[in-house]
Amino acid sequence: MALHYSPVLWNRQKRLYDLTMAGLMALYLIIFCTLQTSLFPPITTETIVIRATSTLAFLMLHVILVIGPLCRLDNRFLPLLYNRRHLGVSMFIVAAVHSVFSVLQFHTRGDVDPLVSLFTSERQYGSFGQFPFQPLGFFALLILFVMAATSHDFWLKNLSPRVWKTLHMSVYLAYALIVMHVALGILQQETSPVYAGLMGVGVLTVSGLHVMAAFIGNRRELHPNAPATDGFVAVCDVNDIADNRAKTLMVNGQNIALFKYDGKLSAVSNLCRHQNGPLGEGKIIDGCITCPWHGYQYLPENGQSPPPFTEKIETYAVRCVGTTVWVNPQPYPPGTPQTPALLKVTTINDEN
Amino acid sequence: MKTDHTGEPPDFYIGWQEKAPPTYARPVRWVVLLLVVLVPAMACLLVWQQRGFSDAVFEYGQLTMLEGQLIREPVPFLRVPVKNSPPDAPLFERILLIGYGKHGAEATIRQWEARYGSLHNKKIGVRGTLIYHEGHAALELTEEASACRTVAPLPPSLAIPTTQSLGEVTLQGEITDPKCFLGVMKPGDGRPHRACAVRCIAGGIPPLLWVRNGKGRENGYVLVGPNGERINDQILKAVGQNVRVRGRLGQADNWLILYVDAPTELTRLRADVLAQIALCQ
Ligand code: HEM
Ligand code: FES
Repeated sequence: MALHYSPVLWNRQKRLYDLTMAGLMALYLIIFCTLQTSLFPPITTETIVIRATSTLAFLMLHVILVIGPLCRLDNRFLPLLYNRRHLGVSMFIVAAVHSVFSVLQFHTRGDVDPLVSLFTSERQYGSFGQFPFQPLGFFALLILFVMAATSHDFWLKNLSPRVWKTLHMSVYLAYALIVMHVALGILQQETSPVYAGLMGVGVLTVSGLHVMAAFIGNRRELHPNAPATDGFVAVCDVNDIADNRAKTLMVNGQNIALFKYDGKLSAVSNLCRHQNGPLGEGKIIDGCITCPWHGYQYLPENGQSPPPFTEKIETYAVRCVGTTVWVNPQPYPPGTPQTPALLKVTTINDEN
Repeated sequence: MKTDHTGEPPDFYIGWQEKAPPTYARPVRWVVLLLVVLVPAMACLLVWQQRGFSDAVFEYGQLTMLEGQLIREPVPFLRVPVKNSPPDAPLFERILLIGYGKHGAEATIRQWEARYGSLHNKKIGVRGTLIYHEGHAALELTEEASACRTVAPLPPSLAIPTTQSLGEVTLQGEITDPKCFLGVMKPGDGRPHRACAVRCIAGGIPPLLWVRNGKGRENGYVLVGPNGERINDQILKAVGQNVRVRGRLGQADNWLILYVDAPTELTRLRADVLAQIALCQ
């Protein structure tokens, strides 16, 4: 099979991605540090490192968080998503430099252990305005560390995609922690409205795009609500689905991708085994459903990856009556073969 | 129809393919272009809008030798004669002694005494790193035990130091640690630095109340208890915050010492409200 996935290989696209990322990171650091030393000569090297890396990491986190909803809004942004984990791991490294320098600068060479100092120097845990901001950064870093450490596909397989995905959703918790880390920390000292304004724009962009993507995604997918006949729910007209493409449906909490190909219809789970990518936005290539995110493939008839691969996804029974497509939202165990519905005029009674 | 190398029309792209079809490459190019503008702009804006740093100095890596009388109470100072001061009324300047790292000087001075015997009424030569800001100087005993280089009997020209009483005052300012504030860290005060100031003061560095009068005048006051005892542990909660402190003011050469009457009554300003105002801005 010529077109099968090999997600860890390097290619031109990936090299371009990493080069652009590294170039932009270097550009930021060079401009920040040069300007910092020339505009504010009294500053110490430690503060330059702390501020240059923290702001770069925070900026990168915004970019990372914006890519997901952008791709959901318009799949032409997908090339940005493919290599997002490199962006994530790099962001973690930059944030770790900030954290290590901060701990060294503010907490070492004192009368207690640096980590004890981190949590006990400031004690107003009962106050909102005076809440210690550094522990917030510590927990954010911990989350970013777990994410970076488990970002490899090895962990994805070992933890199961669902656990992995849940784990990686905690990036939003990390983001919230960092926003508070900044608001309760440096913004109390650097009171220029530009800073508060920039962070406001950042938070609004991230949350706004997520809300918009959820809203539009929700509108794009079908929500059939006709009562079930014999367990089957009427979903759409055959002609609503493009050849070799799918419609995404939400029925009884099941996220289903309904594919039309070679005069047949098959329904499988919309969630890719790899990273829960949206299979319904994929395409049938060489007879296989191909995930738009990283190219994992599944046979539409049984939800199994073609050998030698072993990934399996849930399948659903489909019928076509007249031009109406009916789906049974009861999932079959991953990899269960289903007879594809043929695009010919039948009635439910015929099939029974 | 144009096809890519997989034979598929370029309406679908998988990240690992060698080249993205133009439909995909174009929007991505726009994103990269936007980032090429945004990234330098952010770097500039984030630096440019900073409020700046004090011109306090820490002579990092540069050791200075000073000779003078060791003062232990209420806090450790080295008392050195001011050059060219009139011989009939000699003037003195005090340099606050501070340990290495986030520690007071006491432990180091005890090490010296273990080596040289009592340093009471002795003239000592001390080598360390100078820290200074707004007429206040401190010396970090960077070399710790070996920072004390010479010990000699005190010449009679070094007058017996006295602390001149200036009466009761109430002052409002931020409790800082003089090591960071007078030069080691930028910023060495305020919210981001608070945890570090707590560490330094818990480690025995004398707390320094820094007062700004709103007209560009600033001054520092070393805080001790009513009888000159250390109150570091009692005030840790108020460190790095705006406080109002009442006490008896004393002048020891060029330093002001505030003998705080009621250290437990430090009235914290409504810092929560201040913080919220800053957040709203
Ligand atoms: C152990 C973990 C951390 C500690 C001890 C820590 C400590 C600090 C301190 C002391 C400051 C104020 C520095 C200054 O004077 O400018 C600061 C600011 C900041 N931190 Fe952290 N931080 C930690 C983790 C993080 C993480 C994971 C991020 C994620 C990006 C982050 C982002 C920021 C940002 C954006 C600022 C404001 C800019 C600045 O002042 O540097 N921090 N942090
Ligand atoms: S291939 Fe990665 S999510 Fe589908």
